[in-house]
Amino acid sequence: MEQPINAQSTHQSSQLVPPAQPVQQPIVQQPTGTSIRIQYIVIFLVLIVLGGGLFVVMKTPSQTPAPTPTDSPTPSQKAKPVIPIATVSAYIDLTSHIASLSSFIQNMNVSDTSMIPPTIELPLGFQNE
Amino acid sequence: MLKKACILVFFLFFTPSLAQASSLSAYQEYLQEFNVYRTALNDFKVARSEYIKFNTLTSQQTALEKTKTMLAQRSQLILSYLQFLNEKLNESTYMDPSTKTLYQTLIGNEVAFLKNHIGLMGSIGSLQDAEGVSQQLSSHYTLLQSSVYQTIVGLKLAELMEIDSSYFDLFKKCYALIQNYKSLYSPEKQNTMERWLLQIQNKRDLFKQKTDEITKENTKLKSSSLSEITASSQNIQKLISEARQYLSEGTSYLQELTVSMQYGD
Repeated sequence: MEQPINAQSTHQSSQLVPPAQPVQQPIVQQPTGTSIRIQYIVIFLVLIVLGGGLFVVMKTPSQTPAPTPTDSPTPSQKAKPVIPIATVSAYIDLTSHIASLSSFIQNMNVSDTSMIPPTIELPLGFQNE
Repeated sequence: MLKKACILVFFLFFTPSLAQASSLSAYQEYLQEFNVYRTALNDFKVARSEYIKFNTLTSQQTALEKTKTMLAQRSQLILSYLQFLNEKLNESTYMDPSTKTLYQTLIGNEVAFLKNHIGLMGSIGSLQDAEGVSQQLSSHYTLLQSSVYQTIVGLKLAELMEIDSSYFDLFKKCYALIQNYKSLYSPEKQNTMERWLLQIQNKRDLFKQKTDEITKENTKLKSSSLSEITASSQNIQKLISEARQYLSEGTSYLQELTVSMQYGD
């Protein structure tokens, strides 16, 4: 019962395992705080340049089509040469008379109900009975 | 001298208002007569139906009395209406005197007929007599109505002519002003204004055509039946409205022209 134990010990002694050497790990350089900032600044600057360019493009006046004159029913605001007739008494009289005639015509009673002749009953109605 | 001036001032300022008051009071009187007639007519209708229903001597007598009252009041009502029309004729300042005399003669003839008709009331002794007297007015009624409608149309026509006179007067003034300031307007503006003046003139021509139609239609009222008179008067009413519309449009054009006259271009 003791033999397998000895055999095992002999086997261990014949195969010598070299001592484990320390593994050379690759040195990974950790990014530093300053380099991150530079990246952000670069991105920020690129964005500013792009935004500024876009702003300049938008800002440049586009060629809008000139309004074509149309015949509108409303009087244009264009100043017309005024004739000094408005202050002439004959003109003032004329306009006031025209205005009063206009209102007189509007108020004229074409079918004057007061003038309608009375309706009377003509047949007495005794002979029919 | 001062006295004469005062009289002149009185006639200038107070006569039209007096005339107006005269027509107004005639109208008030006519309305009162109408109310009395309506009462008399209702009484007559009650008495008639009672007589027809009971046929008694009492109901016959009541019917006779109420009939006489109604007949007298009926004539009185027409008389007061004719008086009102006569006052309207007196007030009409623009109607030419010969036309006014013509209409007043027509009214006068009807008044004479009615006064004669009222005189017959005393001779009514039975319901048969009353029927006879009533029939006299019935047979004359078409002529009376034609005289009345002719007068009404004449009055309306005179009113339209008065407006037309003012319209033409203003047209002439407008034309004269444009001529005075012609040099201040551009040639294009002058052409436009001349064209507008022509259009204003055209409105007056159309108005005159309508008034001619009215005059023609008015003569047709003379010898027609009662239904024809009513139809003709309705047609005349339409023509009067159209004539007025032309003057209204022309006046509107005049207003537009005067506004435009302020500008050179």
